[in-house]
Amino acid sequence: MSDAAELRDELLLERLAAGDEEAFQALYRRHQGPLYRYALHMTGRVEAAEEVVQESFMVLIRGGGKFDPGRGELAAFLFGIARNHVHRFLEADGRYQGLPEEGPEALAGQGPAPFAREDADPTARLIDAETAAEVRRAVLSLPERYREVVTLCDLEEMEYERAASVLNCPVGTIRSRLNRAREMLAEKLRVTLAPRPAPRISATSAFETR
Amino acid sequence: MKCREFAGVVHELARREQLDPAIAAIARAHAEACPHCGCQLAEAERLAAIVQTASAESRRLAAPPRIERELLGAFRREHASRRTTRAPRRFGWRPAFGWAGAAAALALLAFTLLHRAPDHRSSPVVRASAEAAATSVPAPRQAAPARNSVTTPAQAVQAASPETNLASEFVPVPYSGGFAPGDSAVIVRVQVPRTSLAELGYPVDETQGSGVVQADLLVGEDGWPRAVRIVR
Repeated sequence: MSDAAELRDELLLERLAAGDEEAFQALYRRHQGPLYRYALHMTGRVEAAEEVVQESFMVLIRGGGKFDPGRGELAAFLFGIARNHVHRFLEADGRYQGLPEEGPEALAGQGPAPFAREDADPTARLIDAETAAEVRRAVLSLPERYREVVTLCDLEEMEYERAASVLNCPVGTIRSRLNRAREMLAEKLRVTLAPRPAPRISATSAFETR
Repeated sequence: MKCREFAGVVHELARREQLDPAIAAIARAHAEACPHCGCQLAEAERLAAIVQTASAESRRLAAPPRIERELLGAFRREHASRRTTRAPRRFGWRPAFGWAGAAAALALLAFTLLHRAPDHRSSPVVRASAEAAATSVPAPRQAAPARNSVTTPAQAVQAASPETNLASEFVPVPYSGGFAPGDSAVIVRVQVPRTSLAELGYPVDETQGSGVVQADLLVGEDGWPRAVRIVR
């Protein structure tokens, strides 16, 4: 596994096509996280995110679809597939308004965030978790085209050029949408952005599990 | 710099990202001189900080191990069946029956139609705007009469095949590059393998086998399909 994990996507795809299970695992582990988070932030639904990841990788399993390394990165290709599935889910689930108020079950059992130090102040970590949940709820309430750019560029920290290739639009469109999305986000989070007198200590999740 | 211009760069300024250093310096000077814009910058910086917190918090999120196990099972089944039925495929554009294969086979035809008869009734030519092509083109509820020429993808949808019974709207083909303003395209009807539908976000029913479905391809001047619409 350790060998495969260091190989480039193109080589792993060649091996995958020949039936190499380790190559598939390496590709899956490299790309599933960003795809899952993208789908989760876009839909707010854990089961939808799982389905999107599954369907995106099924395309690779069935033979790689029409991915051509000469035209771009595998990550962008997979995001493109995931995006179509997310769009279809949102269309089918048009009545969904998002912003469920639930406990932290969606985050349970997934281990600590890589950035989180185990010795960090527990109160500070709870505040971070609550802040993150508020941001996710606000992102979920954005119109789809703005939610996409915030999810890709701000939450997944994707470069503008890469986001442009995923969304099939010019970089200038990414910039302008992102600026508008951030304005809307600032409006929705105005209360959170104001200095708070005292920290609250209960974390909630923006993601719904059913 | 005016306040309105400042509002256009304030979030990039707050994140110190991808902003021309000269513009950043001018914007900072403006924020120091203008109390309103100074407050905007402070708020944008707080927003950047909490979004970064949310981003870092989200890094723990990943698909559960169950998904990997299920996909591995599917991978094994797929390759077991390939070993018994056919040689392994290479990745890339599939010949003959894939989206690309279909498009490539028809690219010459598409290009010819595009340049030869922009006002011919049977060759709908699309002047696709980048904005519209980056998103899905809504399918009409009812078939509309054919038009001599069209200027947007939505018009192309109406102009193409008025007798068509459409099963879906146009869905962008992943990583196809999209459209630039002024780009042209044609709609070409083809048959595609059912399994290709997964790339477009459609559920693929394995029990239906490896049949084909009818689809309209929105093909760019370079012969690459940009979007696909399923036809009943």
